[in-house]
Amino acid sequence: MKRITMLLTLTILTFGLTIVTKTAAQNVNEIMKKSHLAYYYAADDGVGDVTMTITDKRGKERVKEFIMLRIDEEDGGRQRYYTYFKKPSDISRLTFMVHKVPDGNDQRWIYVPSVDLIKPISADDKNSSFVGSHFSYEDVSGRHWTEDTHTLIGDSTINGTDVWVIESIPKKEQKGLARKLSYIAHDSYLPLLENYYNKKDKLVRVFRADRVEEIDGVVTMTTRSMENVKKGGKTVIEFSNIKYNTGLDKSIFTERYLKNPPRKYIK
Amino acid sequence: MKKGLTSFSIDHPWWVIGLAVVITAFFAMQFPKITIDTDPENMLAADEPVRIFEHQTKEDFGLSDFIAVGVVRETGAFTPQTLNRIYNITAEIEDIDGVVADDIIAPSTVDDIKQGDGGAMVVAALMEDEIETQDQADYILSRINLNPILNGKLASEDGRAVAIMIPIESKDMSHRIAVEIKIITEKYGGDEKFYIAGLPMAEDSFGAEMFSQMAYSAPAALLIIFLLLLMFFRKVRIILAPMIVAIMSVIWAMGLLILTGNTVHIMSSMIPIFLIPIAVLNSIHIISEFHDNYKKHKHKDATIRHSISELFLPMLFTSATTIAGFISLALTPIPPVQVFGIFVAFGILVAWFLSITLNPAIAMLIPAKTLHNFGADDENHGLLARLMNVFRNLSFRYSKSIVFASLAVVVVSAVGLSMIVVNDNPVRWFKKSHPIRIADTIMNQHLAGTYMNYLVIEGSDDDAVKDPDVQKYMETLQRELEKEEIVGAVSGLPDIVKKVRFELFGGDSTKAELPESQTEIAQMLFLFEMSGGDPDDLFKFVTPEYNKANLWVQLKAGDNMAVSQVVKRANDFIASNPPPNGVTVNWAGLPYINITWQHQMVTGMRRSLISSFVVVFIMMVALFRSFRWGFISMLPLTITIMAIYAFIGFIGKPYDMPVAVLSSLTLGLSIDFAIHFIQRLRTIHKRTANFRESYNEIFEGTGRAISRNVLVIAIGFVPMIFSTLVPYITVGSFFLAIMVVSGLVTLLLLPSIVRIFGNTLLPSTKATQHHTLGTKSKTQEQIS
Amino acid sequence: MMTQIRLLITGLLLVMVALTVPLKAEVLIDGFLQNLQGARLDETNPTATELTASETRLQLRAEHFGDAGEFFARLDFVYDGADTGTYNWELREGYFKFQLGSNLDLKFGRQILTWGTGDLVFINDVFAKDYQSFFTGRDDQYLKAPQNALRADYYTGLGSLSLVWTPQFEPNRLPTGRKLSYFNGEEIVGESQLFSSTVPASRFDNGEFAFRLNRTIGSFSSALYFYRGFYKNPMGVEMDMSGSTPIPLLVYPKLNLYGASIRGPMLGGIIWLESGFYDSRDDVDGTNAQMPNSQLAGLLGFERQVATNLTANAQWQVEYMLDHDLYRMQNETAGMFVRDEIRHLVTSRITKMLADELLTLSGFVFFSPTDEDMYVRLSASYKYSDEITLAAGANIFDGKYEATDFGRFQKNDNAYLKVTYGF
Repeated sequence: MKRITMLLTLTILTFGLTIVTKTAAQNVNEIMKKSHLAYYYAADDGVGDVTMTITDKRGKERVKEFIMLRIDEEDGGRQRYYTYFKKPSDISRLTFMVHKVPDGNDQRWIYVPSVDLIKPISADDKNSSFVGSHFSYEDVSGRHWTEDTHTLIGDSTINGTDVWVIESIPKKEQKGLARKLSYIAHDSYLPLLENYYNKKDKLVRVFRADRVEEIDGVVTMTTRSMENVKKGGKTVIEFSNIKYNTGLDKSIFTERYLKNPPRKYIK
Repeated sequence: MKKGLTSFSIDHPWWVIGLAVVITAFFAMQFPKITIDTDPENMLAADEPVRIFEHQTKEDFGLSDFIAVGVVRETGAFTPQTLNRIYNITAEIEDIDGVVADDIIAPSTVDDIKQGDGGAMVVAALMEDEIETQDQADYILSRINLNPILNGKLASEDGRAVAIMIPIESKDMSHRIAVEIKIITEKYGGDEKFYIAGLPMAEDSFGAEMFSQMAYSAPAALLIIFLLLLMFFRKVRIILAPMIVAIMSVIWAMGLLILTGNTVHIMSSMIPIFLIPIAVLNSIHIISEFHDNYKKHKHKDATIRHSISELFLPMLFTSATTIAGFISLALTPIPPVQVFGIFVAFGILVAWFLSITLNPAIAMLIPAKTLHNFGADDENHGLLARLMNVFRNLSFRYSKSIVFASLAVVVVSAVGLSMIVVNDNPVRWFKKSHPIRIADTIMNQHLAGTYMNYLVIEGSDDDAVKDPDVQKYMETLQRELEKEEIVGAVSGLPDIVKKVRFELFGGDSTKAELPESQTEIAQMLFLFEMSGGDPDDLFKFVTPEYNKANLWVQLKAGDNMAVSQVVKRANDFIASNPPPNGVTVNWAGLPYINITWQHQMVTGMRRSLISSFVVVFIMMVALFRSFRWGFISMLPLTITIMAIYAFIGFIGKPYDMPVAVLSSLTLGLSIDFAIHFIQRLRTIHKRTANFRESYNEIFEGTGRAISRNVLVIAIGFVPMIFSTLVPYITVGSFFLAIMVVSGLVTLLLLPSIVRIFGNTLLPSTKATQHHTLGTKSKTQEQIS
Repeated sequence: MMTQIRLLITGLLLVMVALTVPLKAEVLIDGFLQNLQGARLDETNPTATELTASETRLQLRAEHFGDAGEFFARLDFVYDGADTGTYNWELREGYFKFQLGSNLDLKFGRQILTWGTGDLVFINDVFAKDYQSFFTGRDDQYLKAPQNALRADYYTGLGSLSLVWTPQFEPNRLPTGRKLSYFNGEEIVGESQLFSSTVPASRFDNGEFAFRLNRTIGSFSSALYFYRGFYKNPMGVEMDMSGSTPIPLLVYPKLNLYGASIRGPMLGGIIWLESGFYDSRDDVDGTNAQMPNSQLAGLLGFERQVATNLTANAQWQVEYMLDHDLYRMQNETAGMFVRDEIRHLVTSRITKMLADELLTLSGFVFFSPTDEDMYVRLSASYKYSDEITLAAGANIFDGKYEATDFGRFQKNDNAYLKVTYGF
């Protein structure tokens, strides 16, 4: 009798634990999914001016200004981006377009005005820098949450905001990245801080949401930065004039508009 | 003074010895504080403009010094097996501490600009992952050969060699990192050969090996000198004194060097090797004198006093001239050479002081019993005595021939001197059989070169180097430099612009040209970044502000002469084609630094040699109170320097750093024999007042002492000839050559001149007692 | 004759070994057949034979390289038509070579030994030479006579050490008066000796020890030498007291030789410098009139290609005799030739290749301004085919005095023709 009770208790305990663990796992994946959507899929479309300040390790600054247009086909799914460069002046009128395919290869085109040529380009988005900044293409367009195994490590606060601390380890071995620690806000689901570690578990890069504002009812990161701790240097991206749900036409995101920017949005 | 010091030592030997031991202990206690510096860059003062510019350039372009790993497989390195091994080895190298992993140049790390799917342009790693098929391997080679930025640099065109360029955080890590790389490559086995080369590694490894060589050479020299002295004088107790004097001088000099906060550089590590022979020289004269006189006096005290007083002046002057030779090194603008000169000079001063104090003090402690029959064995039939007879006969009978022969040597030497080639290359400090030399040769045979120089193009404003004129200028300069045989490749921003343009137009080779407009150039570069090109790769060639650009000039040889030739070609080109828009062009890179300090060294050495030559001449005139004798005394030194350096000119050995520094040693050592010879000859003559007698006598005591010195120093440094480092071999050979040549000149030419001008130089005031020459003539009379 | 038999047995043994080895490993056998005809040019030459050479020679070479060691033999069969009219044979070489460890080579048996830097001028090379062959037009290889010796070479990081022990002293082979005349101390003679000579007795301490330390310094090869043994020519006179009346006997005086040399590239050619001190142990202070005085010798040589297929060299040798005063007095008293205190010898070799390097012309001149004598070797050889080589040459001597090194052979001028068939 005693033995049966014990066996039963053990069985229940084991099951219980398994359920608890599973819930937590689902939970953490859910958080990461929500975070991804809040960060990259805010509203259905968006327009904004971007000032990108790249500071190299010697402290020298370079500024790039561009206008960015985005339209989502479905949340967490396909997206289109359109970028029109304004500064520096020698690349003004240069445009760039991305058709993001989360489960496939993104398509990118660039229009080079000096030779009046549209050229498809492709780059390894995980390691390639975006516009010469410290952000990679992936940092800008979003890394799909299913690519990593996530673990909830605990809770913390950043500038008074409660955050989850989540550790993400790539499922497929990735160059230069062994794990990432994300600090995701309870309220907005935006990542306020991300620490990237290499194989030697050295902190390599730090992402910060420097300013978060509510625009058109959407909590938006208006200033974000990426610092390369290992090599030095930092890129700050500031958004201004953000507008959501402006009813962008999907046809703008085609090759035709690369040569002839939509004057309605691009002034 | 001389009586005082030596008298004190003789009267209170224990005091002197005790004091010397205490001071030596004090200096020896400084040794743990030693700091070692093996960076040849420190041959230039830290505030030297070239060095400042070098550092600025490195910072501007995020450049590091490279270790080059060459992978050679004679049947072709582009196979899946070899490339995968290289892939894995590169991955492991990335994890080595001190390696700048992000900047490694290897098939798996460099980017290729190519046509992707659907005519897309892509910048991606040349070898993204391990490969499986031979086709993939062939494809990688074809991509390298198509890419002007990689062609010949990453792999040889025939695909037999692949280079992995490994940037390191600091030069002084290169030896350690090279060792770690070697362990990794050995782990993978395989049938390809791995070579590790590169200037920083050669320099650092040289430093590492140098200290181990020094730890072996100095004691080995001491041991051999000890054995030779034992052979000559047969009493251990007597020859202990010079050994102690030598060791103490080294300890004092090195101790003071460390105490004053100087680092032990490549140069100063040679201080012991230079000091030992100089320190021993005086003692050998004292013991020789003691040895030859003891049988006469049979009284220790009196013999010592007599020996020191006989030798005081010549010893003072030999030491003073050698000091002058070395102190003149302080005139060179090269800090380590200055330190070297000053502390060798200090050591010589110590050695002289100890010779006239410690030497007699130790001699006083030798029990009379030990000295029983010391010097008694008749030297007249020994090998040295027979040799001295030969010299006496030769110089007496063939004095005119000897003078003419010497003149001929001088004339021939002048020709040889004009053939001297100034050249240096730290890699050549290793013997041909050394792995570093082999790696250097093989890699530079197959690939574009392991010696990296930089040519910095600087404009006054931001974006200055995007200017089409500047780009065109850079391109022309690149092609111009590539005409030079040792230039393996010159890479720069124009290559990237052209490559991007070429790929943008779908691989149209007519488009692989520099654009005419600045905007287009800027957009090509932006396109490079947008397509996935690493901005850090770009910024190795240009600053982010685009105000400076950097041409990588890869050389197949680091010989200063060859580097100078490249620099000259660039300068000539710039002079006849002034850069557009007020742009300036300047050199940076280790090989360039090396030629800069070499140039300073050569001119500095010439100046110090000339000035010490003049100083020594004045000292000689003062010592002998005679212009004529002063002139004669300079002959052995002049002929020795000329003959040795002419020999270097004839055999085509480059005049490099060790050879240059040795000129002061040659000067300091080769005057010594002349001073002893002339000073003693005049002393003898004062006593005999007869030319023949004086002439005969000088070949006895003094002649033997000189020939002992020749043998002791020459043979004592033979171990250095067995070194694996060329500068050590050079130093060892020089000691041998200096001793033999200056000994020969002193014992042949000086007596010949004395013979020819005997009437005026050494006028006989007394009648000749013996009618023929020397001891031999007596035997002759007995026979007849 | 005893020696002949001993040699024959040794030779046969070696050949047997050579023949048995093939069972297991390969033995390479080759050689040549040669006919040499030489005639004297000076009719006053008081030699026993008219011809300086008329011989047919068959040389067989056998070599075997095994894992443990190697074997090498050269056996000559000669028909001497000029003098004896008999068949003779000689084992030129026959030795075994073993490698002990990676650093030590041992070579024992009959072998040709040579070292030093000079071109046909020798200072530290005191291994046996055959001047009979040298002066009559045989191939250059015959200048060196074999020695029965044990040679050890030890290779270290410091350089290579070589030690040669020749248990039984091996003298030079000098003209005997049959085919070549010589100066016997009084006059130039054919086969008419004043004194007979004797080699040192076969004892351990009468063996020859030659030592060399060789080391490369930079691009220069340097060496130190030591030799303990005897002068290779019978230069001393001793009284044989065994009979009722003392008979003078030519002997090989004791010799210690210390030397050094370097050789390396310079001025687009090769330079060599060699020196030696001949320490005459039987006459250390020069007082013994019957024994040679000690002497110092130095050699300076330079060779380079002066034009396409034209190579020239020049050497200058200096010998300084110690205690020359005594020597002069001794020889003057005895009414003998007095050599200068310093003897100079200059030599020059010029080699020119013609006709696609098939024809080789060579001239070698020895000239001593102090002894006032000279020796010229001229030769032309034409490689008719891979097998057949034709050669012709001449040896010319001249000298003011009959007692000097070359003057003593001054009547031996000769010319020769030689055909060699190699296989």
